[in-house]
Formats: sequence, structure tokens, C-alpha cells
Amino acid sequence: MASIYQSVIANYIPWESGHRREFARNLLLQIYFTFVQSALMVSMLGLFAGAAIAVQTNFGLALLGTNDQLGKLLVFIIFREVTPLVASMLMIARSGTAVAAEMATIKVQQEVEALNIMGINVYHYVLAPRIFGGAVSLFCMACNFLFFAALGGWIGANVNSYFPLTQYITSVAQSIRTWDFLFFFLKTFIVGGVVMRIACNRGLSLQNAPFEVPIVPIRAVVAALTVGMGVHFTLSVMYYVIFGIDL
Amino acid sequence: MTGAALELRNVVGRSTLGALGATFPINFGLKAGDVGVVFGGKETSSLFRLVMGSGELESGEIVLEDSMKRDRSSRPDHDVAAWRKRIGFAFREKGLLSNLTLFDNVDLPAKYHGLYRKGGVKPGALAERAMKELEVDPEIWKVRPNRISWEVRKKVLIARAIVLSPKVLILDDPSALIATPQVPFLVRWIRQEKAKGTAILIGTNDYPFGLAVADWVLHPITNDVTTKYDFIDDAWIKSAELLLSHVAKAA
Repeated sequence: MASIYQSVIANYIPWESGHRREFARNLLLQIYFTFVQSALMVSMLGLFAGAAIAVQTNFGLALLGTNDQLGKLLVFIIFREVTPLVASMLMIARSGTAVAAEMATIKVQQEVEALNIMGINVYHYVLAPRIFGGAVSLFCMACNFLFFAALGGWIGANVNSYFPLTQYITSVAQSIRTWDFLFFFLKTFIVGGVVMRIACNRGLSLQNAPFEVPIVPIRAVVAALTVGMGVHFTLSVMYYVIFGIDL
Repeated sequence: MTGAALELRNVVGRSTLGALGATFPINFGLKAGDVGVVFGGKETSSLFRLVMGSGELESGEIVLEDSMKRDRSSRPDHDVAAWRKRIGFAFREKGLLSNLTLFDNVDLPAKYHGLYRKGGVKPGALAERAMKELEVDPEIWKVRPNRISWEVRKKVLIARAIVLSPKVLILDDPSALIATPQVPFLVRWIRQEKAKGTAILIGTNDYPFGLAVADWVLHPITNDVTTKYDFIDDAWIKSAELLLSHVAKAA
């Protein structure tokens, strides 16, 4: 218990007011860089991805004559799997690389050592805001993606057939279970934190010269993709084992 | 109780930059208002990191203000926050946070350690005082470090080291990157700090500058304190005298 307290609570959660204020400032900055700055790109991507999935699904269902199942299939595909997965990949590609490169650079520039020597806890000042910021940002990015994917899904559903908005919303709403929200939150929050932790770790592991800085983001991306996908897969399997495939 | 602000007793150790005191252990006591000088390059940086709690002490002990002690049992970078708050350390050239302005760089330790709240001081006042003391032009306070000269960066590094008003100040090669006409200013500033009772430990390769400010020097071979500079070439001693005459003239 003592080691868990030391490694998680004492290291990552700032208690003193000065520490908390700097933590909050850096946390908000991280959310701004990761979520706010990517919002437009994520929205566009969500819209197109949702439309493409709906068009394909609708064609398939039309062949089987079961177009009324569209809402359920979209929940299956977009809400449970595609959204957390695509949002994670976007974050890894965009912010994971940036954070890894930033960490490597500040290590080379002796900024980490300077923080240590000033008595500033690097966990509080550097790591925790990025990890929590990443977790919150990925959840927000996924919500953003989901909203536009759902909108795109409705547009896509209307490409080759008529699908009224109210019917679309009812169909989607009936297919969502309460536990979906929890797993959606878990998938995005855990993966967001894990991706940022890996990026920070890889960046700060730099030991030698500045020429290694460009290598670090590549290693971070590979590790974050592997671990991130692993977490997604595990949570998806857990979901279906617990709740079954509700067709 | 020796009354020293910083005391090293038979210190042998190592930091990421190399080993220290393997042949002759390091011994010195730096009293309030003393200026101690260590000549050398990489070794001084190693010594300073050891004093700051970053290196590994193999034997001996480091005592701070007769109240705090680090020895062999102390783990590097562990339980050192309180220790480090009491020592101001100015890096040789790097170490400014690139995402903060010069002012925010200096202000960060004060904000982080809650000095404005606890001390009832106006926010930013401590950083402002430190920047003014080092004569950093207020017009560039809001500029990021990459936009300014190395000389100003050096002054900002020193300003950041004094923002918490430490009783012990460690300056790693303070005259490096400083233009020659500015060195007398630095000598004057060090004297002011000394007059305030700050214990100052300087590592430098600049013999005239080091000799001009030193109360004592750490002997490069025996690692003991000395005030006899017979191991230093006469030409350097004369250069130091010349520098002191410049300082007197400027004053």
C-alpha cells in the first residue's frame, strides 16, 4: 500500500497550493494543445468517417432488406469501436509524437535537471499535467468525433434512402446501453493517459546527444500504438464477455 | 556545530559527469559571507551536482546550515526538495525553460514554492527584484530565452538562483558567456551578495575572475581550502589585480 501511495498519489497528485496552481496551468495548456487545437480536424474526420461507414453499412443492409438495423450497427461500429480507436490513433500521431519530442528536447537542454535542482517535482510539473491532460483530451476528442460521426452517419444513411432524423436518433438511442458510456469513458481515459505516459517516458529516457531526439517520437509511436491497441482490445473483449453481443 | 553555511567533510562521490575526490577527499566549510572558488571544468559541475543532491556520495558527508545532512545513505534525487530550496544554483549555460518567458523563468521557483502566498509578498515582486539586481533590461522580460543573447540568459540563470533568497549560492562558471566589459559588474554584484551574508561557491576556469572574488580557493590537487595561490601562475594573479582595479574604477 505504501509503495502504491508513493508511486501514484504522492508522485502525481500535488497537494501544496503553489504546486497545484502550476499543475492546473500546465494541465489546461495540455488540454488546449491536445484537444482544442485538434478539434476542427477531429470534427471533419468524424463527419467523413461516419458518412462513409453509414453509406457502406446501408448498402449492405439494403441487400439483406434490414435497413431498420442501421442505428444498432452504427452504435456497434462507431460508438463502441471506431470512435475510441480513431481518436486514440489521432492523439498518438499528433500529440504523442509532440510530447515525446518535447520531453527529449527538455532533457537535452537540461530543463529537467533545472527543475529538479530548483526543488520542483518533475512528476507534478511535467508528467502529471501531460498524463491527466492526455486522458481528459482523448475523452473530449472522442466525444467530438462521436458527435460528428453520428451526424455524418445520418447524412450517409440518406445517400441512397430516406432516413428521417427522428427515426435515426431513436434507432441509435435504443441500441445504446448504459454500460456503453462507462466503457467509452474507460477506453478513452485510460488510453489517453497511457499514451501520454509512454510518450513522456520515451522522451525522458534520452541519455545521449541531441541527434537522438528525432528517434524518440518514432519509438514512442510504436510503443503507444501497441499498448493503446492492446488496451482497446482488452476492454472490448471484457465488454462482450460481461454483456454479450446483443444482436 | 561549525557555523558553516555549507560544509563538505571527506567527500568522495560521483555524478553523471564523473567521479570526485577519489585520490584526495574534498573538505571545505563555506561560512556566511564567504566566497569559495573551485577551479576546473567538468569536476566543478560534478561537485555542484553532488552538493545539490543529484550525485551519489560514496563516503563523507555534506552539511547544510548545521541542520541538514546528506551522506552515503542518502539516495540521489530523493528527499531533496527542502535541501534544494535552501541552495540557489545557477547553471553554466543551459537550464532555462524554453516555454516560459525570462520573467516567468525567474518567477517559477517563487510561485511553485508558494512564497507569494505564505510571505504576503506581491506576486512577481521577488522575480522583479532579482531581475533588477542582475540589470536585465525590463523590455526583454517577456521574451522567451531563445530570442536573447547568451549573456542575458546567463544573467537570468543567476537571477533565478537568487529569487528564493538562498543562504548558499552556487554559481557554475558565472563569467563564462559574459562579455569582458561586464565582468567588473559581476564582481561587484558578487561582493554585494557577499555583504548580505550569502555564502557563495563558484566554479570557474577564469583565473583572474576567480581570484578577484575569492576568499579562499579549493586546492586542485589536495582538495583542501587554501588562501596561498602558489599553484597559480603569476600572470593570472596580475590579471586578477588588473580586474580589481577596473572594478574600483567603475565603482
